[in-house]
Amino acid sequence: MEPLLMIKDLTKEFGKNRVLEKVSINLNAGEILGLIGPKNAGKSILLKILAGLVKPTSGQINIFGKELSQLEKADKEKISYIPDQANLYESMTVNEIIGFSKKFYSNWDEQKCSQLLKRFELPLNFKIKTLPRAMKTQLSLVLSLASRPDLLLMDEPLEGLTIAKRKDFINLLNEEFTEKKFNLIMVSQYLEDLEKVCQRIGLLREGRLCGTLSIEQLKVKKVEKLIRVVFRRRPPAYLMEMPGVKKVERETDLCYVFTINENFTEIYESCTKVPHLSLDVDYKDCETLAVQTLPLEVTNLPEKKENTNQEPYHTADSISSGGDAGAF
Amino acid sequence: MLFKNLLWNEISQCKWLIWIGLTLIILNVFLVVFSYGLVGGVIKGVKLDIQDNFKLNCMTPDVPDEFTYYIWSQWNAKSLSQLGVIFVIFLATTQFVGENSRKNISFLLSRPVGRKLVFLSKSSAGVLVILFLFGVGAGFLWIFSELFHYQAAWSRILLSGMLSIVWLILFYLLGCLLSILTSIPLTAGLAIIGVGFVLSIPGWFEALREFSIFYQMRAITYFLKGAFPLVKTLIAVFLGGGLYYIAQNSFVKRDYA
Repeated sequence: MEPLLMIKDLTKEFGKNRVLEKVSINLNAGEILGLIGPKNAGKSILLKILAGLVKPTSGQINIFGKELSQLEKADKEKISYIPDQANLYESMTVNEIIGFSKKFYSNWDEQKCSQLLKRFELPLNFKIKTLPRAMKTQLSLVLSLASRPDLLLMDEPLEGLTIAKRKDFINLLNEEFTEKKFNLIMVSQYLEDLEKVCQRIGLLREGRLCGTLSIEQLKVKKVEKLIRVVFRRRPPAYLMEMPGVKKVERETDLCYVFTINENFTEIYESCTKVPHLSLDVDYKDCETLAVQTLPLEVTNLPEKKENTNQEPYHTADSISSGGDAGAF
Repeated sequence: MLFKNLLWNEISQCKWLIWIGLTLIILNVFLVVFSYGLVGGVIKGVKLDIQDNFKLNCMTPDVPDEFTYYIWSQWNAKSLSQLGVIFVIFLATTQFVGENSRKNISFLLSRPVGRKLVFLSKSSAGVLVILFLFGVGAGFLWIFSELFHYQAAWSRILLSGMLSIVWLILFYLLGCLLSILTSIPLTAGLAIIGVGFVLSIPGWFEALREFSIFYQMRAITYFLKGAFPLVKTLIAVFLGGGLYYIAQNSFVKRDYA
C-alpha cells in the first residue's frame, strides 16, 4: 500500500544556509508521528513545507499519492496546519474567523465546530487579540478539526497551555483519532504528551532526520529523557533536586544537561520558568537505540532497485537520512 | 465564492487605512473648495505659478474657467498624486509585508486556496480601495462645490482624475512587488520611497519629463490641451500588466517561513 505521505531526499536551503538535508520519511494512513530535535533542527520548516508555506529546494514530496505542487483544492482541504505562533487575524472575532475559514472547505463540519467551541468555552464575540495564548491555540485546533483533515500538522501546540488544558488537548486528539483515523505530525517538547499520542517519534538534528523511535520500544526500554538548558544565570538548586532527576551534567558554565527517568513534564516546566537562552529535549542515546531496536530501511531509493540480491526494503514505515542508513 | 470571501477579507483588513484615507480626502477636498473663495483675487497668479512650475508656458491652456483650473491644480495635480502616492505606499505595505510580519499570511496560505487567487484578491482589493477613495473624493468635491455655488467642467476633472488613477495603480503594483520581496514593513516602505524617488528623477529635466510616472500622474497634457493620451495610457496599462505578472510570480514563489 502506498504511504499517505512520502518524503524523499527533501532539502531546503535559505541562501547558503541549509536547514533540511535529504530528509526522507514515510507516513502510513492513520499514523501519528512526533518530531523532536534541538532548536533550528528544521522541524518547523518541515511542517511549513508540507503546509505549502515554504518551497522545497530539492527532493520529492507525495501526499495522497500526488506530488505536493500538483495537489488540487480537494486535496489541500484534507491538510491542516497549526503553527507554533497563532497566526489568526487578530482583528476578527472568534465568530468572524470561523465564518471566514469555513468558506474554504466543502466538507466543513458545523456540528464538530460547535461541539469544540462549547468544549473549550471559547467566547464567540470576543476579538482574537483579546484571547489568551491557550485560547488562540484551542481556536486553531477547532478550525483544523472542523475541516475534517486527513493530515494534521501541528507545531508546538502544547506550548503555553496549562496542565489541565494540555491534558484536555491530548484527550481530544485521542478521541478524534478514535472517531476518525487521521494522520498527524506533531512537533513538541512535551515528550510525555507526545508519547501519549504518537506511534513513532522522529529525531531531527541539524536538518537531518537521524531516525525514528517506536513508542512501544521507548516504554519497554524505559528510555531516559534529557533536557539541555543554557541558562542566563546559575540555575536554582531545587531544579537539580526535583524528583525524577537522575543526573545533572554541567557541559559549560551555564549549560546543564538533566537526565530524567520520571516526572519529565514537571521538571521541563520548572526549567522553562528559569530565565534561559535555549532549552532542548531529547531521549538518551536515542540514535543508538534506533539502530538497535528498529528495522531501519531506506525509502524507495531508485538505486536500490538495481541490487536484486539484497533483501528489499519494502515497508512504508521506513526512514532514511542523507541516503545513508548507517548514519543512525 | 472563494474570491469574494478573500476579497472581502482583504478590504476588511485595510479598514483603518480606508478610514484614515477617507478622513484626509474629505478634509482635503473641503479645503480645496473652501480656499478658492479665499484666493479668488489672486487666482491668476496661482494659475501662472502652476504654469511656471510645470514649465508649460509653451502651452496655451484651453481650460473652461478658473475654478476648474484651480480644482485640477489642487486636487488632481497635487492631492491625487501626492496624497495618493503616500496612501498606496501604506496600502501595499500593509497588504503584503505587513501581513507577513503579523503572520496572518501563513494562516491564509495554509488554507486550500491557490496563491494566484490570493494575490488577485489582494491586488483587486487594493485597486478597489483606491477607486473607492477617488470616487468619494470626487463626489465630495462636487458636493462642496455645489454648496459654495461653484461650477466646474466635471467631465474633464473626472477624466483627468481617472488618468491619474491609472498611473497611481501602476505605482501601487510596483509597491506590491517591493512589499512582497521584503520581510520588514519599514524596509518595504523605504524601498518603495527609494524606487519612487528614482522614478521621479526624469521629471526634473524638461527633456525627460514624459518618462516620469509622477508627471504622467498629473495628467497635465490632457487637462491643459484636452487631447486624450491614448498611447501613454496604453503604455501604463501594459506596464501594469507586466508588473502584475512579476509581482504575482514573486508572491507564488516566495517562502513564508
